[in-house]
Amino acid sequence: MSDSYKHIKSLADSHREEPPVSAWDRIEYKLQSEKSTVKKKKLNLVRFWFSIAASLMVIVTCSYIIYTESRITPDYNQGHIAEWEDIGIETDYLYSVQAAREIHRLTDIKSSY
Amino acid sequence: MQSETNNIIIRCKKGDPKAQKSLYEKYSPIFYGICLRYMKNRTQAEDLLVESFYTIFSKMDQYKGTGSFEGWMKRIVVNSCLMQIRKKNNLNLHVDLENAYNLKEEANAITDINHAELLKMMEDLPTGYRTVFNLYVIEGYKHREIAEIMGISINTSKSQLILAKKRMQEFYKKKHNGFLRSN
Repeated sequence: MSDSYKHIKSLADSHREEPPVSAWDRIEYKLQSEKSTVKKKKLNLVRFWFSIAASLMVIVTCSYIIYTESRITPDYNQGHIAEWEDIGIETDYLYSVQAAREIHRLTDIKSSY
Repeated sequence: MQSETNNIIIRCKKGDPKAQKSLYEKYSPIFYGICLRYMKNRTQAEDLLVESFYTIFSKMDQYKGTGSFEGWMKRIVVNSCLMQIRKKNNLNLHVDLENAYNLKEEANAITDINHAELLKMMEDLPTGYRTVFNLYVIEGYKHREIAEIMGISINTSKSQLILAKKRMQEFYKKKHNGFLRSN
C-alpha cells in the first residue's frame, strides 16, 4: 500500500465526529414505534387464536346439543306410549277387538229374546 | 472494558433503552465518520447513521459473540451505505480500463492533508469513484470483493480506483498551488 493510502486510511480510521443530537431522538422514536408495533401484532395474534378457540367451542356446543336433541324421543310420543302403558290389563280389555265382538254378540242374543 | 461491552450487548439484546443509548454514545462518532465518507452531505450521513443503528439494535440477536463486535457493527454500517448508494444513485461505473490506465499518474504522495480536506476531496468525487476508493483504500477490500459487493466487474473496480486517485491528486495539486487558500 502506498504512503498516500496509508495516510488516508489512518486519517479515516482515527476520525471521530459527534453526530447531530437529533439522530438519537430519531433512533429512539423508531425503536419505540417498533416496540408498539410488535405489541400490537402480539395482541392481534392472541385475539386471533382466542376467536378461533371461541368459534370451536360454539361449534362443539351446538353439535352436542343437536346430537342429543336428535337422540331424545319427542315428548308427545313418550306421552302416547305412556298412556298406553298406563291403561293396564283391565282397561285394555275394553279396547280389545275380541272383547268388543263378545259384547256385540251378547247384545245381539239379548235383543233376540 | 471488554466485560463492560459484553454487559451492554446483553442488555441491548433484551431491549434495554439505557444500554442502547450508551452503545450509541460510544460508537456513533466512529460510524458517523464512516457515513460521512460514503455520503455526499451531512443530512444523508445522519439518515444513514439512524438507519444503521436501527438495524444494529434490531439484529442484535444475530451477533453470536464470535468475532469483533465493533467489526460486526461496522459491516452493518458499510452495508447500509452501499445499499443506500445502490438505491439512490446511478453509479455510471462503466469506464474503459485501458483509458483509465492511460491517465498519467501524478508522483505526489498525499501525505499532508487533514481529515477535513480528505472529506472535501471525497465529497467532490463522483459516487462510483468514492465508493470504490472507500472500500479499497479504507475498508481494505480487494478488487474481486468490491466487484462482488457492488455487482460490477473487477476491471471496472480497478478503473474507478485509478480515476478516483487521479481526481484526488488533482485536488491535492490545486491545494498546493494555493487555489484552496481563498476557501
